[in-house]
Amino acid sequence: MIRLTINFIVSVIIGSLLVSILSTQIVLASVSEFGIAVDISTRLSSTYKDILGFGPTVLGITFVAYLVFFTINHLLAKLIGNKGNWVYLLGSVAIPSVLIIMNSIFGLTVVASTNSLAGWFFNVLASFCGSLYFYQQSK
Amino acid sequence: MKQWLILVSLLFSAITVLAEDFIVEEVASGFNYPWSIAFLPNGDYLVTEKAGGLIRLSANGKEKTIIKNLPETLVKGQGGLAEVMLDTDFATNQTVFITYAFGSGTSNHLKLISARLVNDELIDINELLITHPEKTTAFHYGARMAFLPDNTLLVSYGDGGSYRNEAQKLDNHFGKILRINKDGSIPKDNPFINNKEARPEIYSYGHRNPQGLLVAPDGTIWSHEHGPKGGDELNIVKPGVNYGWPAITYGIDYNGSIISPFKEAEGMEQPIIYWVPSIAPAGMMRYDGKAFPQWQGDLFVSALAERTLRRLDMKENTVVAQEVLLNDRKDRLRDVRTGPDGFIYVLTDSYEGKVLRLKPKP
Repeated sequence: MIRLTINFIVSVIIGSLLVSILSTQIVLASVSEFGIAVDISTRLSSTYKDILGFGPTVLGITFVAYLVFFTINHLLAKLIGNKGNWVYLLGSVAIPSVLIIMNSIFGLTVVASTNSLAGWFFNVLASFCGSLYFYQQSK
Repeated sequence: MKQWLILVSLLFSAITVLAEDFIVEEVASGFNYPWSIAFLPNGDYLVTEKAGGLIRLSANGKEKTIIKNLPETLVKGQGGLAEVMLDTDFATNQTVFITYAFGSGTSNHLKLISARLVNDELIDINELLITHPEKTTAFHYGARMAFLPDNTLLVSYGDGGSYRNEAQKLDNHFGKILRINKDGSIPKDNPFINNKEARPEIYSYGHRNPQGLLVAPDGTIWSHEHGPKGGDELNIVKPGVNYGWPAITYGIDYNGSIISPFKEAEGMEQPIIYWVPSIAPAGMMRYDGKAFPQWQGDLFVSALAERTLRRLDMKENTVVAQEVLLNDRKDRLRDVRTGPDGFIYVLTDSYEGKVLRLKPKP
């Protein structure tokens, strides 16, 4: 149980970090499109600022997302009797699903990266990576 | 100790009273989120309610008459009935200009109409402008208007909340101040009229949600706009100029993330002043009345989040000081205007909204 909890916490941190880091790159890409050059120092400081400023929000989102989806996965596995690779599919949509629900509740995009297809792709990727860690470590 | 505390409190109260050279009267109450006020020649008022009512309030503040035939308004989120403004020639033509949210929750615009106000009814309604493209959000409509000395009409439009990058592009209306003629046609000297890829109505761009707009007697166009979390701005608006949102900003996103790492960039105009933390500026006027001679030429900004009326002490086009007024009332303030009587009128933002009047202390 302790091992499972630690794996869960680490997976939340991985997913959150990736969402934050990748979201920053999406925002900086937009800024570059406006004709403003983003040097490496600005990129690094922006990424760091977002981890500090945006990180807590993403941590909360990821925690809820993984808690719900890993639980669903666990219940489904009991029902079906075999986890299989669909585990990773569920993990990939965990964070994006919560973001979709939040956007619907608030009536606008809560996280700017979800304004673009690339942003949604990165959110799926981040969600997948965090859940991949959890399931690999929990085997 | 107790006596000392009482003495200090009395002294502080005295200073507060001495610093305020006006009294506040409640002209009327019971408005459902009043958004804008205009002054009819006979002394009555026109008040818009965001929830969709246009009301004629009698000069004594006791009678309300609902103006009939108002077009259907989308009342959702920040959208609803917005601004009413009298034509510069109202005494002759009874024409008013009105902005409002229009459409559905998933497909909406800002619409600007003109109409004649006759016997408490809108007739001869003309659609002058519908913003494009549609949006799926009910946020950031802008919706303030002002006349330029040449009788063309400026109207502000926000970035729709989820369309912030569009404020930097000229092929849409998001995050722009627009300029049209009174009949809805496009002035031939608009800055982007010869740019085939630009919407011809665009006067300036790179705005977030401008809700203050006025033209001073010398022709200077003043605007303020809501920033995100921090970064509300006061700007002097010039034709064709890029005001930077979201490429440069003094604020961050509500979720704590950056919107841009930059506060300035070449080719993007800096604000005259900005506010961090945000005050949520929602209305603005320049005082040119006679009742408060000491405030001649100052700008007044009504603030929602800060729940104050800010007086910007102006020296030419520079803000030399700011004074916070009405902070004891704790009311969200939506609009501020100078009445024909020289008094200052303020609307409170509430489902039981009030029309307040500031008069000099007797």
